[in-house]
Parts: sequence; C-alpha cells; structure tokens
Amino acid sequence: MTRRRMPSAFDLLLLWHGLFAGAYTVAYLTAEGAPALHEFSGYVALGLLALRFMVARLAGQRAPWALPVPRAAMWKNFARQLLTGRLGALLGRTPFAPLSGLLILGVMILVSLSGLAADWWKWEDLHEGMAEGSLLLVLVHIAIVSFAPLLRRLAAKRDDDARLAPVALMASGSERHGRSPASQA
Amino acid sequence: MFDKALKQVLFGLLFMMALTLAYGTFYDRGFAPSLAGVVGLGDDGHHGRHEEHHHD
Repeated sequence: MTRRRMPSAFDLLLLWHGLFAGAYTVAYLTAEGAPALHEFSGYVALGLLALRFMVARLAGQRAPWALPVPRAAMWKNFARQLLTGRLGALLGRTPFAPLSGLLILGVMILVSLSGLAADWWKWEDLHEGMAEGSLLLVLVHIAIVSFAPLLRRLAAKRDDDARLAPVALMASGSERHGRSPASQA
Repeated sequence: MFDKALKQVLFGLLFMMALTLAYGTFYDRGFAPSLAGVVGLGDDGHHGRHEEHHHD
C-alpha cells in the first residue's frame, strides 16, 4: 500500500498562490459586467489575504509563510557580488524577488480594501485605478517568473561552455600537431 | 518549481471560476448570465433591461 505524503508548507503556499491568482483573475473579469460575482470573488481574495497574513504572523520568521521581507544582509551580499563584477548574481535569488513579492502583497491589500470601501461608499474610481495599476504589476511579475528559468538555462549553458572551452582548445591544438590528447597523457 | 506553480495557478483559476459560477447560479442571476460573467462577457443585466425598455 502506498501512503500519500502530507503536503509541505511550501505546497500549501503554492496552493494559496494559485487560489489567490484565481480569485484575482475572476474579480478582474467580472468587474465590468457582473457586480455580484465581482463582489463575491473580491471577498474571497480579501479572505485569502487575511489568511496569508494570519499564517505569516503565526509563522514568524519561518519560511516559506513568513512575509517576504528582503534582509539587509541579502542586499549587502548582492551589492558585493555585483561590485566585484559577478553578474551571475543577477540570475540567482536576488533581493528583488522578496521585494516584488512584498510589493504585490501590499498592492493587493490596497486594491482589496479599496474594493471593500467602494462597497460602502462611492470609491469606485479609486478602486478601479488601483486595480488597473495592480494588473500592470501582476503582468511584470508573470514576465519575470516566466523568463527567469530561461535566463538560468542560458547562464548554465554559458558556464558549461566556459568550463569545456580549455578542453576543446587543447583537443584542437593536439589535432593541429598530429597528436591526440590521449597520446599526450 | 515554475511548472508546479503554474499548475497551481491554473487549478486555482478553474476552482475560483467554478466557485463563482456556483454562487452566481444559486444566489444571483442563474447559470447562463453567471457563466458569461465569469469569463468576462457579463452585461450587468443591461441586455434584458434594454429589451424591456424597447417593448414599452
């Protein structure tokens, strides 16, 4: 009998991320033509945000539910790497990742709360403007996470090429002199 | 990781669409208008109101 493993905290965070992305998308799609559905999905998104912050408060500094605050040490390390010319630091986990996560969470709270306020008072314009701004942020987030694996693959290929270049150079030099690298050894 | 996150986003989107559709079907304007609303084609009941006005 195979036993299913319990989902990890990271799996649950990914599930939360998926549900929130779904609630946000449905809220955006229903904004113009279906106000009741827009309110419903908006309240779900607000509930999910409240859950995220409650769990973050319980988790404290523990990953992955802790709030993505970029630490000073991370910035210092990143700056040191860049100043010494190691541009590969841009391809790893940079402090911009937690910063963008925090920025998106902050903007989503403002969008949801302005939506809640628009439900009570005439704040529709503020809510609409914020929602459009948040969409831009979400599209930038999608572009970054979509291109990051591609950039990492390119960087890994470049590293492989750089590592194999001396071997290839030696092999071509040996061929020119009519000897194989194996016979040199 | 990217693939896993993408799968969860697609699951979340489908789940939220289904949940909102269920809410709209039972507590708002029924299945068809809710389905149109969930995929971004809702008309806020303007079509029906316009027709009523036209018949008057």
